[in-house]
Amino acid sequence: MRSRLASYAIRRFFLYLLIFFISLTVFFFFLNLVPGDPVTRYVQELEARYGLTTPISEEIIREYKEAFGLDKDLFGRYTSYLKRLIFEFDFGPSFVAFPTPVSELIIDALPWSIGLLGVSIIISWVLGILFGTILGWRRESKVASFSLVLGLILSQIPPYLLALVLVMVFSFALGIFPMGGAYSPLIEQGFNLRYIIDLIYHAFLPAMSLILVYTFGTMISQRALVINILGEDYIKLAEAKGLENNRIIKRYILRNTLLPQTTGLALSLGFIVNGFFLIEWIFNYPGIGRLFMTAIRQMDYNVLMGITVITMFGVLAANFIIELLYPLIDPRIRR
Amino acid sequence: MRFLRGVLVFSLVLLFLAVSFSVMAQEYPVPREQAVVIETDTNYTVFDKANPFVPRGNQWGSGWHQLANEWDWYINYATGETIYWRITGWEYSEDHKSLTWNIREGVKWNDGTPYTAEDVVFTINLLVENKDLIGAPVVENVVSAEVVDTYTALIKFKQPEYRFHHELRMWGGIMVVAKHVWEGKDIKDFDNWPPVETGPYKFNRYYKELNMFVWERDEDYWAKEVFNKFPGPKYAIFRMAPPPDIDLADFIRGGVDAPLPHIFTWDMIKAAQRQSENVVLAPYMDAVSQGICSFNCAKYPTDSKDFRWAIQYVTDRDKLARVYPMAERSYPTMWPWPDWKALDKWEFPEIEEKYGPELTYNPQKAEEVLDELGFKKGEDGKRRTPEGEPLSLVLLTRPAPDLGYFHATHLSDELAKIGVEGVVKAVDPGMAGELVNIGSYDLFFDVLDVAVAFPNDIYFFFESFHSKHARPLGEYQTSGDRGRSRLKSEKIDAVAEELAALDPEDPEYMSVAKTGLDTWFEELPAVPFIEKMFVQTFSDMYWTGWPTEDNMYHVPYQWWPSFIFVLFNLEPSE
Repeated sequence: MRSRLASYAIRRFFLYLLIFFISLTVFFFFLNLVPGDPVTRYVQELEARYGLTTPISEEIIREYKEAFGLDKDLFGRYTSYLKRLIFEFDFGPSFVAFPTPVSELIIDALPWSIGLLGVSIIISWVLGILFGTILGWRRESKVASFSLVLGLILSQIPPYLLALVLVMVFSFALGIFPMGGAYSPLIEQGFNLRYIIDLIYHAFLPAMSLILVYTFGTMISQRALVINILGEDYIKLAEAKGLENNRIIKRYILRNTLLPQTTGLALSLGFIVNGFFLIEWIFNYPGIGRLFMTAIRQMDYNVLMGITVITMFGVLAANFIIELLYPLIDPRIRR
Repeated sequence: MRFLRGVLVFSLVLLFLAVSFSVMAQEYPVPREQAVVIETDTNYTVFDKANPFVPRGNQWGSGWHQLANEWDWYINYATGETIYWRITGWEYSEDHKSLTWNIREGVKWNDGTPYTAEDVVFTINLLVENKDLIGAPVVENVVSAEVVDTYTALIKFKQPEYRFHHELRMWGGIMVVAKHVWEGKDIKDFDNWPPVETGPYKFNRYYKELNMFVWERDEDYWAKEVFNKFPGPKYAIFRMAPPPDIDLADFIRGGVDAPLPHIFTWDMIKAAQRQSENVVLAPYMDAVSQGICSFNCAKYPTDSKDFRWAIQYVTDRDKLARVYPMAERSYPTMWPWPDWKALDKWEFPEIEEKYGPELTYNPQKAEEVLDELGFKKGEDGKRRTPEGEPLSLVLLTRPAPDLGYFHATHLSDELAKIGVEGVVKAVDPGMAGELVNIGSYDLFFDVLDVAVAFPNDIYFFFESFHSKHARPLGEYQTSGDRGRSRLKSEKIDAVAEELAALDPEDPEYMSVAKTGLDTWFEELPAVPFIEKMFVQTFSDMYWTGWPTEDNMYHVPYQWWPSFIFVLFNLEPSE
């Protein structure tokens, strides 16, 4: 049994490794096939702003190109990028924040995103399953019908649109939440209660933009699953046996919905991350999303590559872990 | 139900906490009523550095250029006025091989040290001796600089020089540094942080994650005594602008005083006016000229000047001015520079008389010209090249609401009427720049970024069209906006070279400039359409005294170092 599980894990690992490698390659070529020359363009922007003169800029361009490996052909760039990534775990320097390494920028931004995204996903998933189960169980009540309609509407709203609505209502009209940022500048940063509350206060609206949408999305799918299960013979048997509702819900319903919900979470991670980038941009939140959006605007290739690699890794790793958990959740897979 | 009730109670508690906390939390680290909040589009990546001599030695848009750093003299583009600031003036020698630079007594660095000829001479010689520093090419014609006395510097040239004084004003020139701070330092590694400058604000602090720099007024600012000029706000905050909708909401509630230029369309500004009484409108002609369409003069068929003229005949400038998206109105123009008083002198009546009536909407004439050139209509009503190929033009632009997009779609519609296919290619700004740089377009809708250079000297305009900048198609342009059209005109080259060797005060200068403009319009490497008006919004919730339509006392605004002249006028709102 153990060897079968190990072989399952190894097969999945290599599959994910292959997906990672293919995605990385596609994105690298996609990015590098964009016509033009990012270094020259960047130096031209500097020229426009600082009025640098041509002789010096050509020299800078040459130096930068060497530093970024852009003096090589496309395939040469690809192999040197892979070499640097695999053997040195180095994403290279940022174009715009040269010579700051991309990894440093990502490390600065990552904790903000993990905090916000991680908490939002967990909350929305747990709440979605709870609400969905209640709605499924009490499917004929008026509250359930109303909640279903509300859920259907909210789950279809893109998180960034909801973010704008939340800002307009809670920041602009009511003025009870900040319009953006991650903390109040006057509060001393560190492990103190005031700062922690301030962080939560600033993260509240960005988190709600994600939580509201994904909670209702999960809730609707959970409701459908629960209703399906309610028609099963074993539920009828449990009811006939006079088991308590709580026990039926926990033992017979929730358990049976966990597997498809876990799969759903894994599949939707990519979409959540995409939506999350825009949320950070809207709220000027100093995480990976804002860094990515800024890098797009400035065509900072190395930062784009770095964030994409990290994001792909994160999403694939989460999927991989979830797949590894399947056998624990569903004994059929173990067999 | 019990669970739902619990959630409801929890939400109410959370709301209560949020309301209480919003009272405690502060958006800015200084009292809002003492601070002017200014926006930029820059994502700050350079902190702790103010070194103008090395790449990435300083951060544009952080406020350093705009509040701390000063230039020796300025031009107010709104009025054409020359402002002698840290200097009292200059004189060229008769043979123009030396320049005497007269420094104003009483100017001080923000550490209290007087600003003297020593600083100017030190900086120029630094650049002369270190060819690899940014700014060194500016002093290529300089032999040396020497101190005559405390307030007089003498700059000697290899060849006669006529426009070196422009190098000590505004962008792209020599940023004079404090000798007592920089001397003996490794120039390439020196950070100059906190910056020792002569401007009215000193560095206070920055917040990396919040994309924010805070500057504090220098209470001992030299101009307070010398000119009786002192900025109103005690603090100035520079921050990166959020997305437009969020920024508009923040602007309405007073979160920002000077939003990012161009961020609001006219409709958004009207919405702001409906919701707030504090919206101040300061109409402003873009610093980088007006809506213009550059032709790719290295590519068939736009390499033909007659073809270029034919295209210009199908541009309805009046219509474009009516549908202008960034201000209440705009107006047609024939001049390839903004309608600033400082540039009026180049608008020769003879040129206006000759080309003004021609630069009009005349589709019939366009058809005649195209017929003459052999671009005949087929049975399907579509024109073909003399070689029988379909006539199709790539109209490159940035997406809406960029002004160029409206121009491009208009021209595409008009071209279709005369049987020419105009394919609008609206791409991301970065990509548009790339495609222009490699010459992958027929017409590019943008602005012409040369006007700021020549209020007193139109040489810079012609120089930007000199064929030395034109690279073959496919080869990357490294001259910025210069040579974007890839024009190769011996006549324009000759004008640029002749003007380069002339003193702008020389009586012959204006005549050469006029001839040059005649040639430029004849060649028409770019077509001006309408004035690129935009409305700069300011908020008078905390500060009054902003420039307005009735009193546009200074342009450009917050993104230029001359913004200090606006800050001098600001007073707290009552």
